[in-house]
Amino acid sequence: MNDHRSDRLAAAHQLLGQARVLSRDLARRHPETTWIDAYVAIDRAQAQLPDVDEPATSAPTPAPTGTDDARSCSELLQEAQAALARIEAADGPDGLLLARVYLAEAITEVAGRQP
Amino acid sequence: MTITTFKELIDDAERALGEIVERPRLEPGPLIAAWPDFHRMAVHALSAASGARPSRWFAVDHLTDGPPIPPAKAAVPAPDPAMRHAARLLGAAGDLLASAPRTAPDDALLDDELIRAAQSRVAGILAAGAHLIPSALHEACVAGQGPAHWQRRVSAHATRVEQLAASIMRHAPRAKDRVEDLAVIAAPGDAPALEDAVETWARHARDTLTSRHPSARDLQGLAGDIAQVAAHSRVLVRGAGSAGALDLPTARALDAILGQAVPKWLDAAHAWDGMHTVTGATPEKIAASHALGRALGAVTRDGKDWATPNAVARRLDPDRALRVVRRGQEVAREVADRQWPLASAIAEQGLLYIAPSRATTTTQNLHSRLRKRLVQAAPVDWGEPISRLKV
Repeated sequence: MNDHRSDRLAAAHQLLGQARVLSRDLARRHPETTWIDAYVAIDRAQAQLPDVDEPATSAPTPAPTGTDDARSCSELLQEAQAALARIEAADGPDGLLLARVYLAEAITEVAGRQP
Repeated sequence: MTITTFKELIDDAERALGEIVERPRLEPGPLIAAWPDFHRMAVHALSAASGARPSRWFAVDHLTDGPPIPPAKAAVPAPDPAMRHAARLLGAAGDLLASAPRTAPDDALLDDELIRAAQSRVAGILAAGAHLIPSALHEACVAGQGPAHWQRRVSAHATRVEQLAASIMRHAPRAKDRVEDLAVIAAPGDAPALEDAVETWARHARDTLTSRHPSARDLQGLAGDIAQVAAHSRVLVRGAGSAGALDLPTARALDAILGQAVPKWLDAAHAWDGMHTVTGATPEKIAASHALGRALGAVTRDGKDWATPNAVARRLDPDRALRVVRRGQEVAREVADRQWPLASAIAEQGLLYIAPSRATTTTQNLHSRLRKRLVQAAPVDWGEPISRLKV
């Protein structure tokens, strides 16, 4: 992978990390909802994402600022999806397609949710 | 023909699936219709390279079990064109793999890093294709279109295939760890019940915990899984309470403890976020976690909301539901015990899990439920008492 693609992968990692933090907070704040499933779906999508560099685990992610958490979460995921879509299959790391599939599912899980 | 051409075929297959991923909505019917060919061609590509196929290559052997055949009266739509295209490309890639030159003909596959790397890519594509099936069905369910029984069985097959393919994906590039291939045997069979999904997940959880060098990412995922299990267990406990398998006060108490455990495990996941280890996430553990979430959701959710306790009790026998709750809590307890230095910072008043024995139906409850099913027997004419009989 060249730097350009590494940057996109790193951006996707960052966006998914932010979405994960957001969804976790929503799951905490709204325990009677199924936000926990959205959190886990995002977590799995991020875990499937191939690593950019060592270390293998993601660094702690700062919580994004925003007024509409659900929308922001959705937007973050879609931005991550767009970043990954720009990586050509021929040049992407192994496992990128699987990560994209998991991400698409996370987007569906989050879509239309009300906090 | 060279391996470069193989790469092009695989790249194209990946692009074809990528096109499906980008669709705003997944249609389960055409994907399910395309799945058998896709599965067969991917397995062909995986196994073609192995030549004599060493007996240890169990994962590939298990993959050869095909999906269930739809009943004759089922309306099966035309296969999804993108998935069908990907299947053809994988088939061609398999033909190429079979004819690829071997540097060590006696140990054809496993000493050939190039071929193994190729297999890893095919496995990744197979796992992704497999994932699309339950994903599409789930979308349809959320939209209010319940799948047919045979479609659920196909989905179960795809889920199992994803787990196996993910295990190949991880193992293929590591030539020195062949013996680990032995650990990926999955029991063949039909639809994986919720209990099976929990057991598979629990097995992976134990592997994470007992590993000499556990992956921090796996631990973090495990904490998230336990939070999810606790949240779904609340719904199962409510269902068991509504069906009379648990006293209502007990059900309420368990519900409350599980409710407190959820944010604590989310905190644990957050606390373990910062740990760095050389080992990354393990794909088959993610697949097992996903299968567990799906299996739980099939019982506990209606669309994006929780199912009502009565609906849960109708879908799953309360005793089985409580067994699932107990198993989940056993895993939670083990994680908390083994990772106590970290977990203790999160735990307050020891509410990270419930004692599994508490989620058990009492004899009284069991009898009272059984009594409802008893039918009064017809009166029997016993005749004259023996003492009155004249011999």
